[in-house]
Amino acid sequence: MDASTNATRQGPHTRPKIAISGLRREYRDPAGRPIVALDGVDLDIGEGEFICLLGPSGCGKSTLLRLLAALERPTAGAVAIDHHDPARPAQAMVFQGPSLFPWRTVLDNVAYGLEVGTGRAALSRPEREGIARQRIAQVGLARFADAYPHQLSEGMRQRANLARALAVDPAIILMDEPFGNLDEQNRLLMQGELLQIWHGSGRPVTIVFVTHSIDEAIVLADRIVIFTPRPGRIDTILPVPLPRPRDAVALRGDSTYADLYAACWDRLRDGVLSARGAELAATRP
Amino acid sequence: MRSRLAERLLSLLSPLLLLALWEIAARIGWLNRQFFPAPSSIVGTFGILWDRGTIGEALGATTQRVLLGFVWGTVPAILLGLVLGLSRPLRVALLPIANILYSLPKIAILPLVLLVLGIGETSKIVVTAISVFFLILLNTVAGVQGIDRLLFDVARDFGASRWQAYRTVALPGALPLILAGCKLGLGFALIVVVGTEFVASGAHSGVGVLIWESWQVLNIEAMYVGLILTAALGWALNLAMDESEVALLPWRAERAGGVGRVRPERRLAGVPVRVWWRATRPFSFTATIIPVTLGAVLAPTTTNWFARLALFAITLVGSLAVHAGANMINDYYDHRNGLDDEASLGPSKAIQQGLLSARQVLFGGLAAFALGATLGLILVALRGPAILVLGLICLPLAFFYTGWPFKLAYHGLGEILVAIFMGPVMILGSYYVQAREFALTPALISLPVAFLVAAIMHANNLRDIEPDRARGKVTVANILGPALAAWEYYLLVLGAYALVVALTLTRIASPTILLSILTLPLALSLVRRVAATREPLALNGVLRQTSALHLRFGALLIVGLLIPLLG
Repeated sequence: MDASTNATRQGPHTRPKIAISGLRREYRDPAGRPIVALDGVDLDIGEGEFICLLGPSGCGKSTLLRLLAALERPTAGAVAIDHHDPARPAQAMVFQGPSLFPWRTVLDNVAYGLEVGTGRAALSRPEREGIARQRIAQVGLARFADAYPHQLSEGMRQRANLARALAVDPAIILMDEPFGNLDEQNRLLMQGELLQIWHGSGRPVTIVFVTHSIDEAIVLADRIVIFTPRPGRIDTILPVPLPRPRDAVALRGDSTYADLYAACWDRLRDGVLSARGAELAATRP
Repeated sequence: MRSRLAERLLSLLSPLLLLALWEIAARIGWLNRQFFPAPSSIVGTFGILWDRGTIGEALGATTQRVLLGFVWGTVPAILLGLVLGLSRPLRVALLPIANILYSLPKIAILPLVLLVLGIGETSKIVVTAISVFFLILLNTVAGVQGIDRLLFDVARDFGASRWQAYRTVALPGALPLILAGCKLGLGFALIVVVGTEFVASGAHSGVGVLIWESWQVLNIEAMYVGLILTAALGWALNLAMDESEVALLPWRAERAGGVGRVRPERRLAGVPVRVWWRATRPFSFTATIIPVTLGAVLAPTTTNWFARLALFAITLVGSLAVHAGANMINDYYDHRNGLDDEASLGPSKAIQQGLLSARQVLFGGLAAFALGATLGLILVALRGPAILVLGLICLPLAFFYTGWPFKLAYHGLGEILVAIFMGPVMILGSYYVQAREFALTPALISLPVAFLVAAIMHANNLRDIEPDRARGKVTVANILGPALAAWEYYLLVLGAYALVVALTLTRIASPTILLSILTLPLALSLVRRVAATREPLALNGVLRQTSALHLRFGALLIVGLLIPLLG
């Protein structure tokens, strides 16, 4: 397994799109004691790269995403995003959970990012709706543009959620377990659609995708970043040398896929077991 | 189906039965008529009080106090509530105070307010506003806090400013609870206003005053009238809140039946109300709203604004019903005569899209006429037979405008009829309803509006010159031909401005109506567009913009006429 197969995407020659160095994030528990969610994270992400952050629940993956989105401030370290295009926002996030506005129709939800913020020149309402409708069609929801979120299935809601991020045409898309609540069929379908959209967009789009599914990470990513459980640190970075375009089902017969799966599981199991051991040790009298 | 009907009848009949029993019991002396007068005698008193104007004044005064107090309490409460909901330090500092004050019965502070502000209108409104304020404030705070934090993260991630987060997340998210508070608050407001009317009898009228004064002179029938009015007012306010809840929370309304159940659409004669509404061509209604409003504004002012408003509402709804009827009849006959092919861009297309059958549109149109006629008859009863004469002329014309056999609009009479009836006739009719007399001034002031409404019709015919000719429909536009027809359009549009200037120069109207000249840039751009093109699609835009011009011009004319009244 050699990172050079992805050299065109990663481009170590150019400046990284996202440069993360020495990142640390602490929270306080109710008693005021610090809890380290994330520590010592160093990672460079190239423009147009598809990165999957893989790890067990509570390992700080979502925290890293929120730090990238500047929704939180790091306790130490820094995130530098190389973005100079004023016509395009640096990032947009596809949130985990019910993040659509229940009082807006799908159309108005998807147009939301075009309506607020000062980064984009003011668009007229028909222009905003035109862009939103295009994105809605792209995720296959054209017939449901006027529906409210509660009238949709979970899979449709996640599609709308993706369309909302796509609508602002961001340089980076941050995705926080977007397919976590979907059934297997919908998950496979949407993975395929996401890859298609990522390939098909005219400009390079960098994606940072949080998941706890090994399958998903292998199907989607250029590189898989495996995290250790709390405190979240980068355990391993595994390049995925599978050719694109990928087919989620056909891949499973590939020997590289099997090796990668084994490698991921190996690292994850160690992490989970050592964390459990530490917990047990801590509770022992 | 049958049991539903039986239930309805039962729910309708049981109060009537109760009233009948009451009447009998009072008449044969089982009930002390001193305290429980027969319903028939209460109705008699109602009639006397109505004729005297007491009822209109009382309802008007109380409604005004309730609404003013409600608005003065609600608006600051929502604004402060949003801020408190989003700011923890402010919440910690202020919410306990609000909670303590909320639990104080507001009528109890009336003496204090009277002490500070004196007995008068202000103190009543202030007490009402205070009583509503804390309720709405607490509801708003709870509403904002109930919003999923994730949604605020979404707003921030998309770069929403603080103000945008208020507008797009906090307010709509808290709205269900705010409206629930408003509904309770409106009830509070009515209680408090009636209470203040009992106590602080500085008021000259109001339903509370009516009840209290009738009690003092032992005029028990009049007291019952006061009670009925209070109940009716409470019911109407509640209904208005329910309706605004449905309108403001469409995403909630559909869920009302429980999780996952979609509320059935409101239907009329088996067709969704939404479809009927579309079939009436509501976008054309401004052509009626402007002249009816203008007429009412021109009538001399009176103190009894409630009666004035009620008369205006009846006139407006009645006129709109006739207008809607004429539109539907037009759709029906155009469909029958095969004039509604793809080329025609105007009609509602309800028939072509299969939303309604041709028969349904015909009956819908006739039903709308029937509604208009009923409201017209109410006006005849209230304001005299001149209205009957107007109705007898207007209704047939509205039908035969495009209806068989005369089809007046297809014989070149479209513009002139529309100009006369949606100009001077509507304005004078609406004026008469208010003033009970005709006058020259409103007739003259109606002229610019008449010109512009004719311009709308003419823009329509200008666009359809070719297809109309092919179908054998005669219009002024295709008689004149494109070049001269364009000149007619200039004359109608620019003529309206010339008339406004003339009206001011001759001192018929106050110079404030020159405000309508603010729309001149739009008019000039329309004239240029008509001069430049004969493309039906471009002219379709001209048609829509001419309609907008009529609306804006009319609205500014109305504002211009209202300004001198304020002074």
